[in-house]
Amino acid sequence: MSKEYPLNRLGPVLWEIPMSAHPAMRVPGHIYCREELLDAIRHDRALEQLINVASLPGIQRAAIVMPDAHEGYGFPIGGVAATRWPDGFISPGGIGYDINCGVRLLLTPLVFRDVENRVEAFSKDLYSSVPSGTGKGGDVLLNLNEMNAVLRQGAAWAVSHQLGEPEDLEFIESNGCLANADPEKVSEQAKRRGLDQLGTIGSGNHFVEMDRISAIFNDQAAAAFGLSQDQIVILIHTGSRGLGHQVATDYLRLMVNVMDQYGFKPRDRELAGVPFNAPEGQSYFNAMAAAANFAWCNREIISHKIRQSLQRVFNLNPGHVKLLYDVAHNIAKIEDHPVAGVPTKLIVHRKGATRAFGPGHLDIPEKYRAIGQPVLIPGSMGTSSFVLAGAPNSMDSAFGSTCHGAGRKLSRTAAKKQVGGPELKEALRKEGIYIQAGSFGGIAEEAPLAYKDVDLVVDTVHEAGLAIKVARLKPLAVIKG
Amino acid sequence: MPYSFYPHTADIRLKVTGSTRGEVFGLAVQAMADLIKEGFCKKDKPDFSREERLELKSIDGTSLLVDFLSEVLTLSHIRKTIFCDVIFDTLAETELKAILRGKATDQFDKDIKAVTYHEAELKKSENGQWESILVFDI
Repeated sequence: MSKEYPLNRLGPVLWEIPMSAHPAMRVPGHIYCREELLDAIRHDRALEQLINVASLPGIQRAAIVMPDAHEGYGFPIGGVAATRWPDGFISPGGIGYDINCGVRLLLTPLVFRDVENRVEAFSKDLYSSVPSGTGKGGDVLLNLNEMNAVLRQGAAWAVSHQLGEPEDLEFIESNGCLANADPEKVSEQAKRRGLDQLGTIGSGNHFVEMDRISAIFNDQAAAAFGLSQDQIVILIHTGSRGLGHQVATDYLRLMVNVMDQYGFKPRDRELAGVPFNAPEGQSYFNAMAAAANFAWCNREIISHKIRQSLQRVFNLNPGHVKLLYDVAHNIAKIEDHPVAGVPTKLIVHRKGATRAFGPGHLDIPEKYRAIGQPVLIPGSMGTSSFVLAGAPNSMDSAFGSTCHGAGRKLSRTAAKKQVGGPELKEALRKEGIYIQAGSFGGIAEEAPLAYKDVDLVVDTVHEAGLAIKVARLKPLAVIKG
Repeated sequence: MPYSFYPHTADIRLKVTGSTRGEVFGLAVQAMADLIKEGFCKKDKPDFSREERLELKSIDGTSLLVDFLSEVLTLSHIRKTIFCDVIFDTLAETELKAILRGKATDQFDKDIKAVTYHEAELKKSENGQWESILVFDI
């Protein structure tokens, strides 16, 4: 149980830990959550970690957690922290080890009746063609020169190697490539970890899922996004794999070693950071961008494999499978947001938080600009996932951000004590959900009961005006590591 | 129990206790191997067909423990090997030279993304035992 911290209610779904809660706080902590979720957020160390983040040099306005927040290691998961550009701190812990872990949604022209008798066949085909699990490599094998090209080009590398669709690039956050990526700033160890990992999911909470759209909440937004009732869509959740983990490990170690030179002694070493404009800060930012590009290339190649699988099982032309959008939820970006009413350039850390730019923002593809940026919120494997659209208040209040998932509430051990993998697989099967996974233990750890109620999470951000609800997705087949 | 696991909402919190610093380092390697693939190191007669040499310097004793485990994890992924055992040539306060011994594997059961500095503090407790918490990002 976490310590009790004073909470002021600022609105129906917004709470504040005032700066008076701890002498080190430079800004207040803001917590977006409906009252029903408050106990879940208070039960672990998430709020203690939020206070630590609120104490970072250069932090602006407020340290924020979303309704899916839970305890992390250093920074809370589900958090947003913006620091002053160019001399505010950048911290690898504020992005996380899985750099550019993110989500993308593929749209098919199929509807439920087209697939209902072949869902299991599709799940097996997909499981055999998209490697999942730890330590399992894929069939795209790079040498170090090719790796450098991937790190520079991101998703475009996949397209130029006939492993992706050219029209996808417009619909990826930052078009699937951060221009400041510098492969020279990525260690050889990190590159070696990634040589056989393109086109692989990994394990943990990563997955590929076939979903059916079970509800439309906003007809205008759904039409703009190309979503309709009963449509079959494919949700992908993975990141930069071992390459990204190694980049984060390398730079955290570096920053632990040098932060003293910048007069920084955080309460938790996992918060280690340096000024963004310090040489180490710039090197990390450029290495992080390279890892982010690797993740976008990875999700593009996984999409290619899914398109092939859809063709094999449903005779679907790969060109008819369109990308709705691809968003990162572990990343740092330089963005303009208001501080004291003045547009200000900031270093926005999102760790388990999704960019959710509101209508009209020029970084949103023109096709969706009037509606808002598509936001993809994966739920747990037996519940719902959601498509949202970024809303104006995210820009005013949350540095253009919203939640990223349901958010865990039970430890992996506790989940395994409450439910067995075989029983859960069978129970989900009876609900019409086919699970293909590497181990029963892995299924149990990711059981729906281990997560918060995703409906409450999404309702919170909808009520807060951070993102509006567009559609609900119900899983039919889930591929996990 | 020389090492035990404690609840963490998303990740894994481990406490390692040993009579020497070297024992803590060695037990942490075993705990990590057990997390990656339960029982792998204990199965049959140990056959340590893979060896890796490791040299490392860190800013203090706690960082040395975390950095050492991070290196072991990195080598595990690159060499597709689970390391079960460590022999130290040198284990000083802030540097070490060691030989890791383990076995090749084609797949891990669990993905440890990283060994974090969060809550880690290698110290001698009141009863004279060395101990540290370690949080693994899963």
